[in-house]
Amino acid sequence: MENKNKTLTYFTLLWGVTYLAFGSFQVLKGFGLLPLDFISQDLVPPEIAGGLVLVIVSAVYLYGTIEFSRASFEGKAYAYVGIVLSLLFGGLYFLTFIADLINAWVLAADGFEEWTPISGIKPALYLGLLSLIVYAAWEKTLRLQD
Amino acid sequence: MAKDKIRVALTGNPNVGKTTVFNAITGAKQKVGNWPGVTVEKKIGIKEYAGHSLEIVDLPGTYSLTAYSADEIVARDYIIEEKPGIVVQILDSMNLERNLYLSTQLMEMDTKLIFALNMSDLAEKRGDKIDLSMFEKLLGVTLVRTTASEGEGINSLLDAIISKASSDMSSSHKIGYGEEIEDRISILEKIISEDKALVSKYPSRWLSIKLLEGDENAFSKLSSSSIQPVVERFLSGLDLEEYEAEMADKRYEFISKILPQVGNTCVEDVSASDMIDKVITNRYLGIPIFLSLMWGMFELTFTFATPFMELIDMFFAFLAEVIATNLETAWLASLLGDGIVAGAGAVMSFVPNIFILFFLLALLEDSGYLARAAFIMDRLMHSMGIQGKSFIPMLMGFGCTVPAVMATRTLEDEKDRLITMLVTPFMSCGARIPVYVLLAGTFFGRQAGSIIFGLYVLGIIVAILSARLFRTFIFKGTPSSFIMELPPYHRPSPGNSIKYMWNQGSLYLKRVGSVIVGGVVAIWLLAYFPQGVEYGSAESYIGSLGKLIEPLVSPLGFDWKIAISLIFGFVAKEVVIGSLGTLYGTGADEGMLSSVLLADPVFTPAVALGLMVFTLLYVPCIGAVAVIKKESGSWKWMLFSASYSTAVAWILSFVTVKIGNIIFV
Repeated sequence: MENKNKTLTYFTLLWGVTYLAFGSFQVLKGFGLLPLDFISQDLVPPEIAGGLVLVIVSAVYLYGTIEFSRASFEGKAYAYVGIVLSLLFGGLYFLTFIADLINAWVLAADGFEEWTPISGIKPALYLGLLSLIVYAAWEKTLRLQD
Repeated sequence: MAKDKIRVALTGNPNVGKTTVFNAITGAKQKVGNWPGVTVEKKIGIKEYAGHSLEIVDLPGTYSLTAYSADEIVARDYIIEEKPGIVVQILDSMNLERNLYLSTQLMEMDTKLIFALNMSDLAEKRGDKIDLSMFEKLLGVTLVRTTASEGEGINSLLDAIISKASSDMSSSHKIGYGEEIEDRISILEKIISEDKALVSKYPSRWLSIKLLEGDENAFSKLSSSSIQPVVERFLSGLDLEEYEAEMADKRYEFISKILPQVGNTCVEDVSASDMIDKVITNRYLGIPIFLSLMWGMFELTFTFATPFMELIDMFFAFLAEVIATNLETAWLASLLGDGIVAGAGAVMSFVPNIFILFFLLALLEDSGYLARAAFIMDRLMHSMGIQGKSFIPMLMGFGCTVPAVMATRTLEDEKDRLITMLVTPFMSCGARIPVYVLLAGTFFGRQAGSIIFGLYVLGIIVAILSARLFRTFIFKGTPSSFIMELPPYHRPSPGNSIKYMWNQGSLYLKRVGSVIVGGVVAIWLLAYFPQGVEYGSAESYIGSLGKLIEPLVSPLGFDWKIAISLIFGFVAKEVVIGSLGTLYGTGADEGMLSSVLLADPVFTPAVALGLMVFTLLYVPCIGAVAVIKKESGSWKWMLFSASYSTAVAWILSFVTVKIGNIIFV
């Protein structure tokens, strides 16, 4: 059967691989298996749990790619849930960023003396932001029902 | 002028919005949930309306009047025995076919019946069109369209109740069960009519039908009747199971004839909810997605609350300083500063965490996701000796163990119910959060969210493994199979989530004002006396008591102050932190509790982790223990639960500290 969702197939593959890469880097750095300055410590900080979450999101996207490659209509559901998860975790890191900013710049709380905005921008946040742009552009394409 | 009192029962299938209607009518704030089985006992509210006093009774959900589980029996017995003036069946407009099965049984009971067609907005959005007047005409029952979550149609429903109450017409609709069964019903009706007392109590046709279905509860109604032997003789030669199945078929046949005449109900082959469920309940992705969402929830609970916690800490530090500098009476300054401000203030700091967690839980539940969690866990839970349905009470345990233990009433099988009751306290309730947030934040910094998430997961793992243990050695057998209706996903309402957050959060605040202040004052008294000793020292009364029990916990690396805090934590888990605050006397001079703990050589990261594990697993609070006694009906299970959980807590805490000592050197 012909795959009518080629764009979404490439998208889920690209997003799946990207999330997998960033998630794996974070986990490997967290376990000390990659040097901290690999790529950049600020942009890809060591974080085991946060990295594993990115790997799970990547699995959802890649599952979608597999479904699309079988010309199954269910691939769209994986793309949709993948985007929702990207937005949820992007939102989580955005709120964390705001909380850290208040702690560091407004309350001058202990432990936030060396915090800088760049250190608060984590992979889940910027990948979530990119996903938001994709969602805004493809809202109709991603809609599960007309 | 005395008002007419009308008793109104709200009934319906589980998760159709009965409690939402109840809250909308009475203005009550009963817990509503987007999963079946939130209401497990009847709740009563009063509404004054148009010169009438309405007593509204919210009943647990039931699929039919042949009840199996404890909550269904509550619903059925109320309608049959208490005979409310009006019965309002809440119908889910999205699932009319299944909901009308209960309607067909209610219509046989000669009650004054009203149907409230709830969630009609969602059905209309889906494209359903229902002809209300045709519906009323075919069923002979008053019908009102409602969207209870928005408060729409509630006044029309109240008007219908009053109008129905003042009329003499009850709703009686006969379903033809076929010649053979109708003959049997007629014979039974004739036999029953011999007992006038029985006829005055129960509609004879309804009772005959129930007897033919082999309903045990219906048989019990004949126990003191002279006609019992005659009925038994008559039924002895009949295959009642077959009759029951045939009558169910006839009811569905009736429903399937009615529905096309009242409008078009849109049945999608694959809905958006189904599509999402393909992913969310995927056998490989389901549990990882569930765990990642849980992690996100706890991460946000911890990180987003920190600025608010900082502000509360600042306020209490300021208050402690004001007390220390302005009060000259030493004992009063100590009571207020070292006792109440340090103790209750330590607990108050965690109010933002509590509010955020409950808000996020409400969002997840309202969206329909938490109902999926039970489904996702079913495979794992079944292999461990309990059914997936048990996961719903366990999830409720994240809020508070007391309603969670009560929610086990939704489980039909007694062994399943007892196992779930015994393992539910391992699910970490909201009252334990302050302990985690303080210790994880102090000793694990930016990893605190992940540590807290790990504790919640540990609670689930211990609960499931304990269930396996109980199933293997105590409650032998296999768990019941699990059928659960999944509500459709919808965008969660922030308003509902805020309401739920406020209800739960204000309970926490009330506890701070009552039990926790009481607890910390008691601790302060024991720490301050006998006079002349240093406050909170080993020579004080509390020090002596602590030293006495210290040997029990010293293998875990805990000292007498921790031991005392854990003992007082039996009153309410928040008191663990309140006690530490009071015992360490973290007034203005001492700085914040976290700094004091960091400076105490007893508190290492390993001991902090061990203390968190112990707090997670040891005997639940006194309220939870009491409800286990009440629900199990046995002192034996209550004592077993308390001693088993404390033993597990001790062992796992010991292991945690020993491993922690190796890792965190």
